[in-house]
Amino acid sequence: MQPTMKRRQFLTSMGALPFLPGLLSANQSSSQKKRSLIVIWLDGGMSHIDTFDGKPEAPANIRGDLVSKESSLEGVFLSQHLPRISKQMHKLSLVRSLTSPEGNHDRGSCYMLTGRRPNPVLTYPSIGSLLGQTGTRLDHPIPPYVAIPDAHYYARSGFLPLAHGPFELGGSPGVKDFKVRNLIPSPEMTQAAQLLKQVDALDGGPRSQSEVARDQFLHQAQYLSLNPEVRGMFDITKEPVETRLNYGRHELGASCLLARRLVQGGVKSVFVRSKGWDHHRDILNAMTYGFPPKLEALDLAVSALHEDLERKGLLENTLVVVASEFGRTPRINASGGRDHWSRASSVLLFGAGIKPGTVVGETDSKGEAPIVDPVSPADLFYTILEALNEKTERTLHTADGRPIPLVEGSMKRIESLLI
Amino acid sequence: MRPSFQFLFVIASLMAVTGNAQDEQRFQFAHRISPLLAKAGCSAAECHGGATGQGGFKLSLFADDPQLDYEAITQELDGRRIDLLNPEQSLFLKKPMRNGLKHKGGRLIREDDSLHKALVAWIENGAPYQQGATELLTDLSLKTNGDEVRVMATFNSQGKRRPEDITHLARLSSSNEQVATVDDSGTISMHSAGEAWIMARYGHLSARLAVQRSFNESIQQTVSSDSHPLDIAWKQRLTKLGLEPAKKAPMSTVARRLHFDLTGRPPSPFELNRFLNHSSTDRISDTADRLMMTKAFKTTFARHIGAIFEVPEASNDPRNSNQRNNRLRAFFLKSLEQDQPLDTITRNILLTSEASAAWKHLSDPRDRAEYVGRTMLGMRIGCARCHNHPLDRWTQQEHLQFSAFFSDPRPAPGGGMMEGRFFLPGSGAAITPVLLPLSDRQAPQKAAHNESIAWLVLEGGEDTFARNMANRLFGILSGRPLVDQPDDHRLTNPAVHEPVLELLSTHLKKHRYDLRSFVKFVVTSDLYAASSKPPSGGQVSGDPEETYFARRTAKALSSQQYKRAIEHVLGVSLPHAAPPDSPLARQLYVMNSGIIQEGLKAPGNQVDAIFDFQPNPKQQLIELYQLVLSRNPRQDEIRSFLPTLEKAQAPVEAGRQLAFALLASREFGSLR
Repeated sequence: MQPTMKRRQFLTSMGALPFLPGLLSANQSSSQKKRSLIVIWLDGGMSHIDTFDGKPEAPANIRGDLVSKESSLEGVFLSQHLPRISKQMHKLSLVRSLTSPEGNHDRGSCYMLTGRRPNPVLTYPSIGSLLGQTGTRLDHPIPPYVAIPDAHYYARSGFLPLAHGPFELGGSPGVKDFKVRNLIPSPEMTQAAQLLKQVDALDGGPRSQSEVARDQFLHQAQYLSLNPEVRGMFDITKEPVETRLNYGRHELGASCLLARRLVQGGVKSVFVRSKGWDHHRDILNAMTYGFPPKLEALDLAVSALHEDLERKGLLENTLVVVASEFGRTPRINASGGRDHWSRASSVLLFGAGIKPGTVVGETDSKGEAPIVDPVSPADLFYTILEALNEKTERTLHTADGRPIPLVEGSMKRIESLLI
Repeated sequence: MRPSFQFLFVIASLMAVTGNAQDEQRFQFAHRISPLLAKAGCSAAECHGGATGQGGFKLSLFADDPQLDYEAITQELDGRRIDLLNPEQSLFLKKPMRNGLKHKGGRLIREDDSLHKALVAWIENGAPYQQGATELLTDLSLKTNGDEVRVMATFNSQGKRRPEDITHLARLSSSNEQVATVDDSGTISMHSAGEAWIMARYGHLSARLAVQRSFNESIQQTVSSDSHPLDIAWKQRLTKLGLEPAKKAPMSTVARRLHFDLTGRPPSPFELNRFLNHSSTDRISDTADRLMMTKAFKTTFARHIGAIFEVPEASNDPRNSNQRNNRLRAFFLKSLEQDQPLDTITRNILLTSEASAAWKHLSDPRDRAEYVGRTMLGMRIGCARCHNHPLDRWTQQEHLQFSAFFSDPRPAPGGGMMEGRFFLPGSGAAITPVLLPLSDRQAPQKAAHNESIAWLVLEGGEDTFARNMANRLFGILSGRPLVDQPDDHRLTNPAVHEPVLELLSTHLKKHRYDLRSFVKFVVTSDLYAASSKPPSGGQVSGDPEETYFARRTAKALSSQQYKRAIEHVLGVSLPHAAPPDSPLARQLYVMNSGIIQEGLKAPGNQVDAIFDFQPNPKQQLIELYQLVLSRNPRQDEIRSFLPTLEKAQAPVEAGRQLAFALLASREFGSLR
């Protein structure tokens, strides 16, 4: 028996090496590559009026203290605290007429992230867990769906098996000594790997589905953890300092940079969660003076992601969606904040399958409700799947075998957004 | 099925109608006409039965609401859909006619069809909803003679019962089309070995019937009549299906199961040896008795019962350790410490302020009603919240009326509090509370709302409650419930072995919901002790032996169980959080979180103790296997690992490495 084993020996024994080259390269021709999705989730409900649907003409109690200016896209008014996005706006697309009946955080998030309104007997899978999944493949053990730093409840696998859910990093890439939870290999992992393999081999083989799954995920865990190149995919310090500064020195920027690295490395879907957008009081301060200021962080992170994806040739095959569960009340409340408002909200999109410079819909002069082309979160869900070239006529099955169509008959694609 | 195919059967069946139907009943819309529309596919979900109908014409899904369908056909559009003077010109006949008007659903009827004739005759007769004496559909049953199934309905008119074969009017389906299919005339085709349930739906009723084809007819089990009652039922079922029950698992495996199931942890080497050396006849029974007296049994079952009532186990997740969950966990522990039976615990959840937080935090009465349905009755009544379901017995109205019991009390005009009222969302009309009709028993009059609910769960619906609890407890003990999706008992989701579940729920009722008695009943059976080992070279899962419980299904330890098992084996308490749920994150945790490594470095841990005090390498190996995997190493394991231990310069270090591999192994993380 050989008690210890060198890492490289181990990798070779797993047959993993043949797949290393090309794994991290973006050189594959783009038509061969499958499309990826990055959802930037502004948890709590982003105020549409203070970001992408400015109402500079509205009375002060609606307009708010945050000044909006016309962006590089005619007729689209963005907060003056989003200067970089504003300059890129003609290359991005915007839905201003999203409307939903769900004004509660959980229910609104459910509708946005799963495309379905909450159901008392069924939790639907999130869009990220639906993308072209066929389970873990031994020859390509990169997790298909990753959440930074963690996933919203409705960003998980719903009624699908847990294996479809996101791999949650369990730590913020914004902090200096950021590490993906339990990714750094322990000395025992390398030393005892051969022993473990022997122990498992002598127990007579897996006996049930859960034991088969354990074997697959152990293989995946060893692959991710023992391979410095794959592990490096999660390490944003490998990026040049200028790039990191360009994304911004905060969690949202670091998360978006990491999302780009993951997509480049073959991850199909990334969920970036930015918490703290539930501004019931003093929205002016929260948006502009906080640490870091919310709008500044959003501006840097999103514009840098767009530039970066474009420069690296990834934009064509990566769809980025900036969204939250609902908008916020047009009228500023007594505490200087805005409350939940699901009748109107805005969603920013760019990249794969989306026509640049498209604006869908418009809200009334007070930003209360769409007056042109209202769309529902379900429509947006369908549109995203289409933009990603997903087979939308698929049927999903719940654990008890009930068939659920991926796309309901009542969902409508937002045609003007799609190329 | 393609519409044209379906249609042919309708013709065939209509001939049967005209042949033997009672003349006076020929034009009953609810029993004679609307089932035809359902069977022809008109009221299917993708056609006019969809939530918004088709082309402005909406029928109820699978003719679930004949009154509504009657109005849609005869009264909507000012009655333009039918033409009483000129029946053949009726719009609703001309649309699907060959050479008729435009119909997106296709050409479904020809003039010489009996469907057409029947509908024309009905309109000629004045398109009545009802004619002659009122007949009520009171019962539906299935009979089979060989490869044909007949659907028998019983109608009741003025106290007179009249049975009738209505196969041609009922909708038939199979629960497992790989095993058997059934066509519209009732002919069953068997396709492969196994069991399928033939379901029939007619009017508001459903019925079911099991059909089997044996996997191997030569399998004969002789079950002695003094066997455990569960084993008699189990083995008879397997014989019927032509399957052989798995051999008994090795006693060390049974010991590990029993200790995990009853106390949430593996046996210590001492307990393991005591179990193995016990006289064989009462081994399991005596050990179960002893384990059920421990505190660990109470804490473990407080967790299990808590999980049934949707109270999560304590964990590092801050959302789980809120005050409500903490209080409820304390409630379950106290109930177990006081040996309260399950019905008392359930009653307390419904009636006492201490435990009603389990459902009172839900503000919508409908959510509360659905909670009671799911947890206590094992039924998803929530399906009826949105609309009536063709596969479900509950209507939207029943759902709302039951929910009305759950509204909070409000101040009464004369002072004090009065029962809360529940209003129909939308229209605001008040809804009168009505209990779900679970049995014929009469509910007490004028009881407080909570009392009425408790009566329904524990008395009126006792059979439902007992079946649900028996299924869940069996699932906890055997790794898999007999009705999969334990909150979804319904006619169309039968148990894998109905007779076994029947015995279990009868036992539970007979022993007044006493947990210990039930646990002992299950763990002393051969069914509990069956091996989980798949036949060599056979399928690992999804094979008939696993599907039909001929062998046990090995089940992964839960995150919390896994962490507790490591702590128990090493004899140290570790500060680490339990592993995350995501399967990849869990394996990374096993390898790299340091939980095993730190446990192995903790002073005085059980692995070090072996290597500190036991000088003989072979004994070291045996003790290590007993400690971690609760069994002795097999020959090939000794051959593989003994040389390392013998040659090791630092035996403690070598021992730790092997212990790490055993604690991270497939076998340790699973309950086999």
